[in-house]
Amino acid sequence: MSAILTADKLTRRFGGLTAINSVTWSLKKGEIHAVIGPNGAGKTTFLNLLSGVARPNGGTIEINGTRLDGQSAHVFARHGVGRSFQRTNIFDGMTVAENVKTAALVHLGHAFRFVRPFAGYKSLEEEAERALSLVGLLDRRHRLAHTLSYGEQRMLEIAMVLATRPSIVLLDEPMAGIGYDETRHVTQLIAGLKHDHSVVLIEHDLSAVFSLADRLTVLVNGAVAACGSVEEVRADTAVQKAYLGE
Amino acid sequence: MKFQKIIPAGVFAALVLLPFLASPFHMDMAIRILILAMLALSLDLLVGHAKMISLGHAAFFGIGAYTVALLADKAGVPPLLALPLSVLTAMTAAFLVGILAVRTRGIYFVLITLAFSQVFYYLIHDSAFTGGSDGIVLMERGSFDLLGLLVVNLDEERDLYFFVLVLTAIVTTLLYLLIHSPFGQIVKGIGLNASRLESVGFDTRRYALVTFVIAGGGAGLAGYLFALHQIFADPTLLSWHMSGQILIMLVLGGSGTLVGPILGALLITLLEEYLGAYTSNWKLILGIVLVLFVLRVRGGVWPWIVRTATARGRRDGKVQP
Repeated sequence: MSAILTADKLTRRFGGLTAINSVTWSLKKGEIHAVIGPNGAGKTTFLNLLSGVARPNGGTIEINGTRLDGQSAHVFARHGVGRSFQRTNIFDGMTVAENVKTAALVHLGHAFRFVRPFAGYKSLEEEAERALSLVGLLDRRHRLAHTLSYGEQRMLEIAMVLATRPSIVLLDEPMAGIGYDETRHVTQLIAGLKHDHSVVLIEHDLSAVFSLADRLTVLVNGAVAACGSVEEVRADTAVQKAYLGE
Repeated sequence: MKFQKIIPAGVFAALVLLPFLASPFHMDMAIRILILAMLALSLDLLVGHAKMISLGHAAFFGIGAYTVALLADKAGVPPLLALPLSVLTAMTAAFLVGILAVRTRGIYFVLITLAFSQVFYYLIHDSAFTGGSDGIVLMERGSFDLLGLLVVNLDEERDLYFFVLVLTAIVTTLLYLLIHSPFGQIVKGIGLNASRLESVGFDTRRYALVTFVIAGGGAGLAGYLFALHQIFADPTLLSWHMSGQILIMLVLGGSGTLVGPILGALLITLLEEYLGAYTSNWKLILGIVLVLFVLRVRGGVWPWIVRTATARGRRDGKVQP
């Protein structure tokens, strides 16, 4: 399998703190790659760099052979990167369907369309319904987004990512704070994404990580402590000491 | 249900019949209200939808007014021909300000728009070319004759009223379409969560800039009409008091709706006119009214009316089997 995304000597500093320290890393096409590590290891910063939300202080990012480091988030998105956020990040005043349809607007190329009603775009409607049924929120589509439960808002967040039809999906703790049933649902959903997406998954729920991930990267203090198959990483004594606590 | 049809029909009839019934004093006021409504609507695209609070919107209003006045005064261009140029000049100014302003959010956006409007204010205020603090007087408004079918003489108060009414209706319709279009959806998205919109794949600055330019164009058209109406352009049109006054209209009428800004323009003008007749301290009373409004009628008059009406409808609905 070839790499769809590669990071070379990626570095990000916040003042005196080096959150990501010269990380060289790659995502293979069609794999689920989990990134784990203790709190403060730099996992979210890493995703922010891979999605253009934050800019690196050094190093390069290539997606499908195109250099993207230094570009804005919307450029990363147009190159197929879709991401969900650790803290729920939706359009509060809109309905659930509108949230997803707004994300799906990218399929029109641009939104400098001033006359025809947004509500009349059938293709967006269909895209939203597809994404909402994938996450199991179709029956909630007319609700205002902020009236959903926390777990449902997390699902909406994922539906918005899927509606853009990304080739690379970055998920930041999709299972944090949600119930048992929802966790199972999300696990199945992520497993199903594998067929036509490459997935980077940050997650603290290790049983979900071990069942889903093809490869595993352990991030400690902004550096890669280990990277390999689940078995390899679990067997790594340094990782056990640093993170798994075994 | 019936009210939803009766009220718009009544408003329409009143607007059409008004020039045949009203005194010149009231005609004058009606024209001013329509123009200010257009101005408030243009600002609300920024404030109510994109949540970009501009304290410099009057600059584009004044630039629209000065364009027609200068063209007539210096080059003898008939005021009617100046209409597209007034709009274009205001949009160009908005583009230049916008390029820098859309890089900021929140309080910084407020300050940068204020700063630019002050620059325009002093450029016009301190220049002999623009008549300094005296401003420029328009000699005539002009007239046009469409193949003998439609003869409009804007120096007639009634014709000017209909000219302004039609343009305000067109602007309102265009804004309605825009707000409900995909572009409008992006504008709302900028207001609700711009960074999320970025992550989905939209360059929000570009959309914010276009929104700013459109709003500037609306203000320019309103300024053009205002100069025609009072046959006069002076620097106070660009002042930050003027910008503040438009914002107050939005707060009072209800930002984020189409009716709210129109209602705000109406209420402010009426308060100014009638309270001003009683006392020169009318702004003090306006201030108290505003404080009460902000505390008691959150969101403005129009959303309050809608809330009350739907609450009553729901109550009635429950009574019926």
